[in-house]
Amino acid sequence: MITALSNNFGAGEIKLMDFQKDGLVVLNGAFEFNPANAAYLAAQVLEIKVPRLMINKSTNAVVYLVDIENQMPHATLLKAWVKDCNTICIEPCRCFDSSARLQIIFCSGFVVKGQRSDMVLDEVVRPTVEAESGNFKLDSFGYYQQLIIKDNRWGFMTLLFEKFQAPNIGEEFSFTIPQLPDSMDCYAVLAIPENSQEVGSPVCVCHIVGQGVNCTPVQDDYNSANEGRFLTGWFVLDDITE
Amino acid sequence: MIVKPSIAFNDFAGTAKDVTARNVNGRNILSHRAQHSKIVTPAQAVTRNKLSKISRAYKQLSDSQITAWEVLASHLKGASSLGQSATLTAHNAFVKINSNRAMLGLPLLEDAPVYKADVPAVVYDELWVYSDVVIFTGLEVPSDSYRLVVKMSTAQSPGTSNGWSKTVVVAPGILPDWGDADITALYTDTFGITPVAGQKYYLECWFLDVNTGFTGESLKVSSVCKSGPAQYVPRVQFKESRYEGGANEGYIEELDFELIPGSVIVSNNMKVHCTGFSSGVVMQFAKYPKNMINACRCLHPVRSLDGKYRVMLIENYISLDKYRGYVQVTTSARGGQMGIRHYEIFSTALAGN
Repeated sequence: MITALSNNFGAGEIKLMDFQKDGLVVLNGAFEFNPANAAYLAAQVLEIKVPRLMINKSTNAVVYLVDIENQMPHATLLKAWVKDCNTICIEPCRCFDSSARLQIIFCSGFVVKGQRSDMVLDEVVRPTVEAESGNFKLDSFGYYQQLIIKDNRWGFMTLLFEKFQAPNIGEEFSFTIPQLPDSMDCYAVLAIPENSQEVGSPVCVCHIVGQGVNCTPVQDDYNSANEGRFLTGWFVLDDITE
Repeated sequence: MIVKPSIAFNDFAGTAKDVTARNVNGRNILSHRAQHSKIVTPAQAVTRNKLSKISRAYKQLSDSQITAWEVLASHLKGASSLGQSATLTAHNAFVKINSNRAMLGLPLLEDAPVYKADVPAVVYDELWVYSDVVIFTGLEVPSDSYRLVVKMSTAQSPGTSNGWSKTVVVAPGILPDWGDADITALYTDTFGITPVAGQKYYLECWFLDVNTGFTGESLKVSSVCKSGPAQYVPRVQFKESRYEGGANEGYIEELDFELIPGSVIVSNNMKVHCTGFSSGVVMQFAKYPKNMINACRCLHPVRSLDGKYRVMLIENYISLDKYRGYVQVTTSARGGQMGIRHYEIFSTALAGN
């Protein structure tokens, strides 16, 4: 776990689960901030100062910006990168500035380019989904479901649903992925593609603990059992730096 | 002419007009005396013109500016002689810094930059010299304001041990690409030929700070151009697509796509513009490294560029067609807000089979 030393956009304490090795840093976690604060409004680039990372620079990675004040949270993607061994940068996006509560979710892999060695495809587990209630069915093309766990320390997961319908409107819900390890405790974002007229995409913020995926409520207008819902992101299982 | 005739040894040595005589291993050898061509190449003319302009500009400086250059000069060292480095005058420092900047096409600096620290020496992992590639890999670049300057010689005999006086600038300032400085095309553009296997090449390089014009210690290396299958392992990086479109129609506005080895991680940075009926595009790359894998796929979230910041899921399917000689990367919409035609990708993902 890394605890940020400071930030330039008025966020409170920032703690992120981390896995680090030569050439790669995986970060997972979430924190809130109020976009109305002067520091955020003035920031050209959002900067988070952290204890020394094992990499000095990274290529771009994705973090999610979520408007959690909205009854049905909406999110977009932000570009993030490691600027130096003590600084993580995030591009600001002003599309949700009218909200009072925004959340940034890291489920991100920061990679150093220019590496050279052999290419070895990892063993991929095809995850499945189980639930006592609700309507959840993964896309029948198994290649879109990917769970890769490395050294019991970190990994990457993608789920694409053919049907995704929460059991009750406006209530938190959960489903199970049996293939996940007990040591899983991370955040992810599940995108729900409804209503192309809104800014951002409706999402569920998911807190995955062990095999259970716990999701924020889905509101009416967003709970039809349609296809195209997806979840993709990097996660950390162990908190040990190599 | 100094002529040393000897009836006993039949030994002549010296120069008269355009003939030079010398005795080598008991043999008298006569040859044409080397003469300067007195031809100024366009590159030489440009360089000499720049230096004279810079030197004249010093006289236009104010007293306070000259004083600042004197302060800077006290920190800079000149060429060493007998183990001691020469000090520079303010004029020396002004010309040195501004000629470095002029090499990169930067404007004249009238105010002396503040001296903070030495520019670091060049540190790298490997230098590869083959007929089709000349590249430094693993360069340690502490700051994006540093550029690598490289001088290189033409082919020299492998028996030589000192050819650095024959080097010319082939790369006036490269920003290493994640530790790589590929000077293959720059060498070919400068000399008109590619390196020759078996011949020796001398290189001299140093870092130059573009903000100040300061330079670091120069590094001198040499390498014999290798032949046969290259042991050099290139990056699996695609920046230029030979073909875009296909059944899905579309084009790429910006492209930086790399497969990072070990666990195969795909770093995908591109802007996609789809003009057909779907939200995907096909790219083909004719240049690919020998260690390219046969096939893999990964999924990335993408962001729409329609002002609504919506999220979509795309699949990259990457396949190598050895028979036709290209790598094909297909970008296809798979989930999220479908129907987005203009989007950007700035994502990393682990690739699976």
